[in-house]
Amino acid sequence: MRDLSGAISWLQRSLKWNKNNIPARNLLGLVYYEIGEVEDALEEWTISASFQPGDNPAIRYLEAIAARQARVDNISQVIRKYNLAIHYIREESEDLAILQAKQVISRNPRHLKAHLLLALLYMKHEEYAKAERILHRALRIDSGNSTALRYLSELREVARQKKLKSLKRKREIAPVQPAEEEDAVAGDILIPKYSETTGSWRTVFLLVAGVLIGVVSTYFLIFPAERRDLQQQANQAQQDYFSTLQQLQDEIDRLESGSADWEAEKQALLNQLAAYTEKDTVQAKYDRLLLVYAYKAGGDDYHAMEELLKIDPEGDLSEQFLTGYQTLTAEYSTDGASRLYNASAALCEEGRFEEARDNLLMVLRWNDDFPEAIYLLGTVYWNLSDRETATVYFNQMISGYPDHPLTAEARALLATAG
Amino acid sequence: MINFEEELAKYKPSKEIESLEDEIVHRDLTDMTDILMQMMQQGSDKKNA
Repeated sequence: MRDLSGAISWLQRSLKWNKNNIPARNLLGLVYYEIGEVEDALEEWTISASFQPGDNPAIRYLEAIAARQARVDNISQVIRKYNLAIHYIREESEDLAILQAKQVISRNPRHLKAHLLLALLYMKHEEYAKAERILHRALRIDSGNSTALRYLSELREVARQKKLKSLKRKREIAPVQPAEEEDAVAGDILIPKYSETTGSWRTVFLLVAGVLIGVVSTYFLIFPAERRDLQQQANQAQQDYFSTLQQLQDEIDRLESGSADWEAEKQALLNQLAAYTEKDTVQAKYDRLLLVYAYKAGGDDYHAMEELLKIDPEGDLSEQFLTGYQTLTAEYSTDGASRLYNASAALCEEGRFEEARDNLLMVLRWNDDFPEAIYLLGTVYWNLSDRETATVYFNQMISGYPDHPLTAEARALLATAG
Repeated sequence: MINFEEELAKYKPSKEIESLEDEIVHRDLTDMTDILMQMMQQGSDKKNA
């Protein structure tokens, strides 16, 4: 059902009756986490842990978040960017607010408030199609969200009004002859009496004669001139064609005469290339590390990580090379993997599951202890209708991270499969 | 029709992680049990007075 707003409402009421209801408070934290309100989730879990310091899942949730500095940094960044978006709105810089809201969603694709804010801004700027897309995404996060439903209702009303206006405009286009002209003439002259019976055969004859004259004049006067023009164009096109054909034939003859030499040169180059790539020389390793830096500078984490994996740090390599290699390896194992994970999540939101799959497989090659990536990869395979592979990753979540908040989701998905 | 200015004003900034401790300390966690206890205490105070 995924009516998370409804769940929040009921859980808050439950806690109003009994603040010591630890399962309700923990669940409320999970729901907050699910809709991107991480600070509220942390607050609930902290209060829960203070009420029940022993044997409390809330403590594990807090530890899981605190254990990864990259995650904590990401949470802080998301909060800062969201607050910056609000600030820009107050400063009437709504374009900048839109940019910040999009960045929030890119970092946390489940941030419900950012979705709603972005949709509202799009609606204000009359970008209705974009607003509708964002609102549907919001409803996938929280199907019962009243704000999203209200905004969608507004969009439908706007669309209805537009359609009505368009229909009204079409009706106004066909002009109607005013009756006053007829009235002005009628009083001054004799109006011949209209008769439907007289001259009907004459009318038909004249009509047929007019058509025949038109056809004949077209055939004898207009067609010949057009035929001449077309013939001239065809002749010119034919000349151009033969001329080009001759030029190409001359080029082929020239190439064929020297092709024997070029074939030998090509083969020599291919032999050199094979020797270079197969031997993985020290030079090749240096070149590959430079390539990694180039990809990194361009923000292409996927290819940087791919190239870095190909480097074997054994052999006669300088200390500078090894320092650079180790620094990059450490960075991509943590921050790089997180960035690529976030990019994958954004791709999933856009329905680009195959690209997301490739990214996530790379993430796990670098950091196989990344439960969020494991879960997301499971959902990607699920969406690609590869239930078998999805099951493998979901089972990995269940066995490796039984208390992780996303493991419950994995179990739920497996349960739907039967 | 949505009044965009009013609607945008409803969006408030999120709490920063650094200020969470302060938020928790100042949060009102009174529940119905606490209220009932207060009422019972007031009742017994009146009785003793």
